Parts: sequence; C-alpha cells; structure tokens
Amino acid sequence: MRSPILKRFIATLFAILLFFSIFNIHKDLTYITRIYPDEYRSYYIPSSLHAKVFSLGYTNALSDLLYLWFVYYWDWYGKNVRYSYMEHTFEVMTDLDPKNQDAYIIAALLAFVPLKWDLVYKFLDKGIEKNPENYVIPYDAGNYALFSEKNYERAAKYFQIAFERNPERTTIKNLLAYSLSHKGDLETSLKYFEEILDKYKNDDSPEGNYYRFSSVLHIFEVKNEIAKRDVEKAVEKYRAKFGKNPPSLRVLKKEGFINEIPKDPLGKDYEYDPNSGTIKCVSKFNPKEVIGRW
Amino acid sequence: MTKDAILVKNLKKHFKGHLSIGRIEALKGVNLEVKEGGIYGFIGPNGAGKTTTLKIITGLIFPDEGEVQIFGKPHTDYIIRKDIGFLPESPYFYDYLTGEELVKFFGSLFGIQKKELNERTKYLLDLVGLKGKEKIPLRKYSKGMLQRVGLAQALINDAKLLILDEPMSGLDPIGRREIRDLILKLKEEGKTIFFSSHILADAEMICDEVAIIVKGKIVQKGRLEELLAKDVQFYDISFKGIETPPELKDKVVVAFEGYSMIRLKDEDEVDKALATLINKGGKIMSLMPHKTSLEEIFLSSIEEKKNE
Amino acid sequence: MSRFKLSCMQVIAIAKNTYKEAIRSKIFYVLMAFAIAMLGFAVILSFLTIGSQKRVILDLGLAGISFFSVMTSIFVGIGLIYLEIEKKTIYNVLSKPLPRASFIVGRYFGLMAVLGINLIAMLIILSIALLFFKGFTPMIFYAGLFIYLELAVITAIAIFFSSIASPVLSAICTLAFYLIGHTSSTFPEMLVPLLHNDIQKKIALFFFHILPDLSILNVSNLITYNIPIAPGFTIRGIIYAVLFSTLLIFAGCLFFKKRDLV
Ligand SMILES: Nc1ncnc2c1ncn2[C@@H]1O[C@H](COP(=O)(O)OP(=O)(O)OP(=O)(O)O)[C@@H](O)[C@H]1O
Ligand SMILES: [Mg+2]
Repeated sequence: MRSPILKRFIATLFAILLFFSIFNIHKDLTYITRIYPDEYRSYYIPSSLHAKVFSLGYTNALSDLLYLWFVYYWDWYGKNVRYSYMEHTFEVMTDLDPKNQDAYIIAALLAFVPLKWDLVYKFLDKGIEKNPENYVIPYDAGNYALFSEKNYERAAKYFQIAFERNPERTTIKNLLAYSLSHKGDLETSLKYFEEILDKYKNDDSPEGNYYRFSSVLHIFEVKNEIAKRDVEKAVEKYRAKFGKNPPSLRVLKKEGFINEIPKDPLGKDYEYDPNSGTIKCVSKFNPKEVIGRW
Repeated sequence: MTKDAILVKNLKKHFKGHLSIGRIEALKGVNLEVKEGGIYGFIGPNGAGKTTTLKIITGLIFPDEGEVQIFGKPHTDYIIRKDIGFLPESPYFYDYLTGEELVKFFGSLFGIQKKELNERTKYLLDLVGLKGKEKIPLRKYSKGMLQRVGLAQALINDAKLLILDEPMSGLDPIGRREIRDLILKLKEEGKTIFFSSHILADAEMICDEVAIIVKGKIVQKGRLEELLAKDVQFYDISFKGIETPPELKDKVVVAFEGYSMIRLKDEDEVDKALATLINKGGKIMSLMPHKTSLEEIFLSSIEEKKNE
Repeated sequence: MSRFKLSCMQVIAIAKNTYKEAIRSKIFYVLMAFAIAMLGFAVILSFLTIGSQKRVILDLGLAGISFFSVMTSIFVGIGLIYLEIEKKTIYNVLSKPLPRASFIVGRYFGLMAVLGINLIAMLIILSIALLFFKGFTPMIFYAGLFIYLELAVITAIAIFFSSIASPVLSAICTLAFYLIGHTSSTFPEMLVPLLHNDIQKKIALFFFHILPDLSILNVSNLITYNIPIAPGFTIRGIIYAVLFSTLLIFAGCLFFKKRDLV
C-alpha cells in the first residue's frame, strides 16, 4: 500500500468507478422519469387546506410561488393530466390568496390557448365570486365570451356584472350595450348607447370622439333593428290571420298591426319587401351629419 | 461586640452525580464565623467544598439545610449583596467586552452613577495593574489579566466585605505579591476579606484567621497565630568565625568552611548559647525559630480526616 | 436609592450588554446577510412573474422578514439564559445585588432591542426595493409593528423554555409553539370534518381555543391589497402580545428564581 504506483492505481480505479457511477446515476434518473409514461408526468401539490397549514400563515407568499410555478410549468405536466393539474394548482393558488387578480386572468389566458372554454369560465367565475368589488375579472370574461367565443348571452351576463361593479367605465358600458344588442335586448342596448352619446356629446378628446362616433353608429343600427323586429312581428301576426304577407306597410297599419309606419333614424322610409316580409334601410349614413342632429 | 460579617450555620449541600446517578455530599454541616475587619482564609484541598460554600453565600445556589447571615441579616435578600464584592473562581467574563466596559457594566449593576463609575473604573484598573489595557477586549486577555479584571470588578462597589474565590490563581509570583499587598491595603481600609485558597504560603502570610475545610467539613479554624504559635518546635542558630564550642558540639547540624549551624530545643538554651558564642568572638549570622507551618497543620488535618 | 430604581438601572444595564453581545457577534450579521439575500431573491422572483411585480416583492419580502426575525429570536433567545450558565458568565452577574427576575427581563429587553433594530433595517431595505418598483406603501411599517409583536411573544417563549430546559429541548418546544401558533387558525377547518359527533367537535373546538393563535398578529396578507384594517385590530394585537409575553416572562422568572446555577 505504501508504493506510489499502487496508490496511483487505486486512485485511477476510483476515478473510473466514479465516472461510471455518475454515468449510471444519470441513466437511473432517466429511467425513473420514464417509469410513468410522459403523458402522466406530474408533481404532487397538496390540497388547499394542507397548503394553508404548510404556508404557516404566509399564504400570499406561498400563493405567489405557486403562481410562478403555474405560469411557467403548466405545460410541463403530461398531456393526460395537464388540465386536471392546472385546475388543481389554480384552486390551491387562489384558495391561498383569493385576491390576486393576476392569477385568475393569467389562468384563464392559459386555458384559453387550447380553447378549454369551461376552464376559462370556471377560473374567471371563481375570481368574480371571490372578489365582489373587482370589475376587471368579469370584464375579461366578457371579452372572451364576446370576441372569442361569440357567446353574446354570456358576454352580456359578464359585462352586466362588470357594469354593476363599475358603472363609470364607458368601455364596459359600451361592450355591455353591444352584447345586449346582439343578444336581442335592443331597448336596453339603445338606452346605454344613448347614455354614452349623451356623456360624450361635447367631449373633443380622442376618447370622446371615439365614443361619440361609435355610439352614433350603434344607435343607428339598433334603431333599425328595433324597427325591423317590430315590423317582422306584425307581419307574423298578419300572416297568421290572412295566410300571406301584407302587400305593403300601409296595409299593415290599416289592419291595426302597427301604430305607425316606421321611419329610419334619418327620417326616411324603409324599403319593404312583401316576399320576405322584412324592411331594409336605404339611407346613406354619414355619422358626422347625424351627430349634430341627435 | 462586633457583628459577624459572615455567619454560616450548619450548611449542607448535595449534588447529583453524573447523569443524575448517585449523590455527592459537597457540604456536610459547615459552620463559619467571619468577624468584621481582618482577613479570613478559607483553605482546603481540591474538591473540599470551598467554591460550593462561597456560591451559597453569594446566592448562586441554594443549600439543602442551614443558614447564612451577612452582617446579621439573612443572605436570601438580594439587596444584602450590595455590601459584598465577589470574585468568582477562575472568572468567566463576557469576552466581547473590553476591560473597562466590563468593570463599568458590573458597576452599573450596583446603581453607581455614571461620573463616579468612570472615576472608580479608572482608579481600579490602575490599582490592579491594567493601565493601558482597558480598551482591549477580554477575549485577548491572559489568564492573569482576567484575574486582575475580576478583582477590579469585585472592588467596584467599595464593599465592606470582599469574598474572593482563589484570588491568586493564575498569577505569577510578582502578581501574587501585588495582590497580597492589595489585600493587606484593603484590610487597612477596614474591609473584611474572606478568601478561599489552597496556596498555603499566601494564606499564611496575610491571614488573621483561617478555616480548613476537608471533604465538606471544617476540621480546624481559629486565629492563625493561635493555631501556629502554640509551639515553636526548635531554633536554628548559624554563625561563623570560631570553632564550635565543645558544649555545643552535639547540637551541630551542619558545619563547613567556617560556617556552622546548631539546633536548640528551648529558649533558655538559646540565650546561653548566644552568650557563649558572642563571648568567644563568633559572628551570629541568623537566628531562626521554627514554628509549625500552616502546611503542616493542613497536612495533618487531611491525614486525620483520611484516617476517620 | 429605592429598590425599584436600582432594578430599573440593572435591567437597562443588562439589556445594553445583551445588545452589545449581539452586535459584536457574527451570528447577527450572518442572519442579516440571509435576510438581505432573501429580499434579493424576492426581487429576482418578481422579475419572473407575469403581472404585478410589487405584489411579489411585498409578499415574499414581508414573509421573509417575518420568518428570519422569528428564527433569529428563537435561536438567539434560547441561548440567552442557557449560554450564560454554560459559559459561567452568569455567576458574576447574579452575585451582584440583582434579583434574578431583573436578569431575565434585562436579557429579554436587550434581545428585543436587537430584533427591533434588525427589523427596521430589513424594512428599510424592503422599502427601497419597493420604491424602486413604485410599490411603496407606508403600511409595511404597520406590518412591521405586528411582526415585532409576534417576535415579543416568540422571544418570551424562548426565554421561558430556556430558563427551565436545555437548549435543544427549548428550541424544539419554541419551534413547536411557533408552528402551532401559525397553523392553529386552520385547525377547525381541518379537524371538524373528521369528527362525527357533536361532543367530539365541542372538545376539539375547546382545545382549539386554548391553543395560541399567532394568526391575529399577521397582517401581511391584509396590507398587500390595502384592505382597510379595523381600529380594534391593532389594539387587540398589542394587548394579546403584551399579555402573553408578560405572563411567559413572569413564569420564566418564577422557575428561574429557585434554580441552582451549577
Ligand atoms: N455542579 C456540580 N455537580 C456535581 N457535583 C459538584 C458540582 N459542583 C461541585 N461538585 C462537587 O462538590 C464538591 C465540592 O466542590 P467545590 O467546587 O466546592 O470544591 P473546591 O473546594 O472549590 O475545589 P477547588 O479547590 O478545586 O476549587 C466536589 O466533590 C465536586 O465534585
Ligand atoms: Mg473552588
């Protein structure tokens, strides 16, 4: 053992062993990670209650850390468990800190990317429920419903909540009126648009100009829609009685199905098509002209 | 009649042995009366119970039985300790403090006001020979320096009673001498000094009274001269210049190169011998009475105890 | 000089000395370095987040400050009495005309002073970090007050245990107290569903009310969102902490009074 050659030999042997053991450890690790197929890859995250105990009262801090984890690693999970884990992590994170607006909005965004609508709304619904003052979350939900899902009913519901929480923000009111008009609640929609117009009538800021312009546009359309809807209803009744469409609007009025012959917002007559029983607006619309008059 | 500075009655104390197994009887009924004024030596071999007694007196541990009075008042009231200056055995101090800070800290525990404290600290550090070393943290002190700081802090309150647990340990011969002188000086100031030691030479030199403790029991106590002077054992006379007179020949202990030494048993003999020697033109070099030394008393006490 | 005045002077002297001890020891600076590293970590993490950066700094910063101060108070606190005995430095102090209670109280106040300065330093660092991210709110000093109250309680516990038990045991007990105090508010939520009959539930709830509840000294979660704090909240916290620590210190003194210092 004293001989330097022997020492060197043993050292070399150790080095080789060490080298291979590292190599093997690496293999082991890859093996361990392969035990479960990638589709089921996951980490354990405790339930909300346990996480709350574990956080020692520093719930916000733990929630922040989970949030970071959530944002960066949601797609690390295996395909088959990804969304259930996403949901679980979200639940824990928001139970720990229910007031973190970012958590709801980013979670919804992450669920939106693969178009998991139920998750998107679930996440946002929780935020809406837990933060009764917050209007940003329902506004966000409304945007998803209106622009991406094109579900006007839902959009109107969310914007309604946002509007109730913050009646001053015109953006919300505008989108609420817009979704209402698509949903079919034309009168309320018209009322809101008219209020917006009223508010910005004399406002020359870029924002004022924008809302004035857009509300005029919408009022024009909604008024047309109302007239169209009324006529169609009357036509329906007429047909039920006489078995055919009325030949003209005047006949409709004479028979007492409408009180007035409708005029378009610019005061012109609609063009009536007896075949389909609908009316059409023929006025050329120039908002700038109109703004002065309304 | 003066009050006793310390009165210890039938003090008993036991400790638990290692790992709480067994029972060590450290004190088995100790009685002490330390008169006011004077130096009282409390001596005994290692493990005799000296430190234990002092710790009980200063209220650090509680006796199983017995009572202690300081200037006639029970020692259980902490305020009594205002009159005591205590130097613990091999002092352990806050090593992050400097010498000056340490002394001031202990001074403030007595409620000494700042100005007075500053002056006294300076004076005392001077007195114990630590001038110029006040600003060094204790961590860098030598054992002897620590002992000196310990002494300085024991004196900070200018107490009537000083209790010193082995004040001379860790000091070099010069240091010991300085401390001895200091203790004597304190005695002159009218203070009572009660100190434990196993260095008998020191004790013998300065004590007025001693008590010897062995295995938790006092085996001897009393005024030192009474204990010692009971008998002079013999006298040695050394002289030169003449031959030893024939009548003294049988008393010679050593003789060489003109020096001689004779040993005599009693005082009459000494008178006679001196007269003879001077008559013959001899030169007396020294006359030494040999008393029983404290050491001998000490050793014989221990012997007795062993034989019991 | 009256006994009371003397005692006050002694308490101050011992507190000062404790303070000196702490700031001349390395452990103090090590813990400070840790806390600063913690705050740095919070800032770095805040860069990674999506959304409000200042919230992350505030949450992690306050949690880190609270946690590290508590750890300091536990690990320095348990040694406060015990190490003095261990190093035999206590002999010389207690042989002075000093009631043992003064010693404990002085040590306690000394450590509290150290912890206070430590806390303020960390809060200032946190404020600077927050100012940098335009998220500064003076409310962090309010949170600091509550952290300090909690430290008062924890230190009292540490001293209490260290006056009757060995350091390892007292460290365990104090940590256990801390854990229980911080989690006990979740016990009803946790335990009650596990129990089936009413009597069991009542007993469980009774024990729950006995347990220390430190969550009432935790306002970090409130100030992150600027939730208005009821005025009674502060008073309640102060009374709770002061009562609790006074009681503990008092009990510690009682135990310590009769102890042989060997
Ligand atoms: N804390 C303790 N636990 C157990 N036994 C102890 C303790 N302190 C002292 N003893 C025992 O009590 C006896 C007396 O000890 P003490 O320290 O009083 O001796 P001493 O006379 O001061 O000795 P020395 O000259 O060595 O300082 C010894 O037998 C010692 O073993
Ligand atoms: Mg001793």
